[in-house]
Amino acid sequence: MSQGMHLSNTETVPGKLITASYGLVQGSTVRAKNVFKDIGAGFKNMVGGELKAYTELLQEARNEALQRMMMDAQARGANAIVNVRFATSAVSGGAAELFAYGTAVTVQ
Amino acid sequence: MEVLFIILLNLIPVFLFVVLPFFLSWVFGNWHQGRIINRLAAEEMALNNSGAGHPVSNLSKPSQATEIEVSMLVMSSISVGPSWWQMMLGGWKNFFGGRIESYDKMHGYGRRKVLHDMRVQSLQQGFDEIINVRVETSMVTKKSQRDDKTAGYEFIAYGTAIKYSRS
Repeated sequence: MSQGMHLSNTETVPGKLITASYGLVQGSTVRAKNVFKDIGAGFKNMVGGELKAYTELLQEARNEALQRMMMDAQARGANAIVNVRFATSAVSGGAAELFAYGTAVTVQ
Repeated sequence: MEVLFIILLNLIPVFLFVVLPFFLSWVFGNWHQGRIINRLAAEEMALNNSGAGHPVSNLSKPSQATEIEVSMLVMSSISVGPSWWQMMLGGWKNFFGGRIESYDKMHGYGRRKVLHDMRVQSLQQGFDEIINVRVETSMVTKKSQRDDKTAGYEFIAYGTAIKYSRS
């Protein structure tokens, strides 16, 4: 997933030394749930439990947001992102925004 | 007698489209949710009894002062929803106020499941512990456009997995 880039949600990359910082990097994507998945989830709600269609959709979207964040960091010459955080928000009735952000750094 | 027959005839659609779906939701929802919660409990117990150790914490620093070989961001997520029956009970509770126990079941399951899956994932990759764990919840869908009776939530757990140097 990280393609040689170190990702960490701590303030450092454990076991490594930060030599340079390049500021905040971010990646986001907005995904709409299609009507068929909505219908399927509606029926799944009859018994409750995991809504697999949404789980997969949001995982794909989060990976895309991560990729965009890593591309942003690579473009700045960083080889690691520390203090990574995720945020999800519903932007309209049928769409969600997945957002990943962190601080791009170089580690030895 | 004829009036009674007409009333009963008019009650059939109410039974078929209102009472029956909620009854089925109650029966099969309890059965399905009980099954997945028991399965998760068995998996958690098997992992705890396996002697894997593998601490998971929200501390920002590693628990050992040993040299670290490698670290990686690990995460797990799941979308879960309550059943129609549980949503109806939740709606009633919203009217009277108080604890909505019907939602606790699936929320508790979602949180436990993401933490368990993240732990399994990092163990399979040979990591020794996960630090700085965060668990977040967000609403992914609504029951309808008219109010805020939510029918789908996403839980995500993420943290930094650490593998200590063996030398």
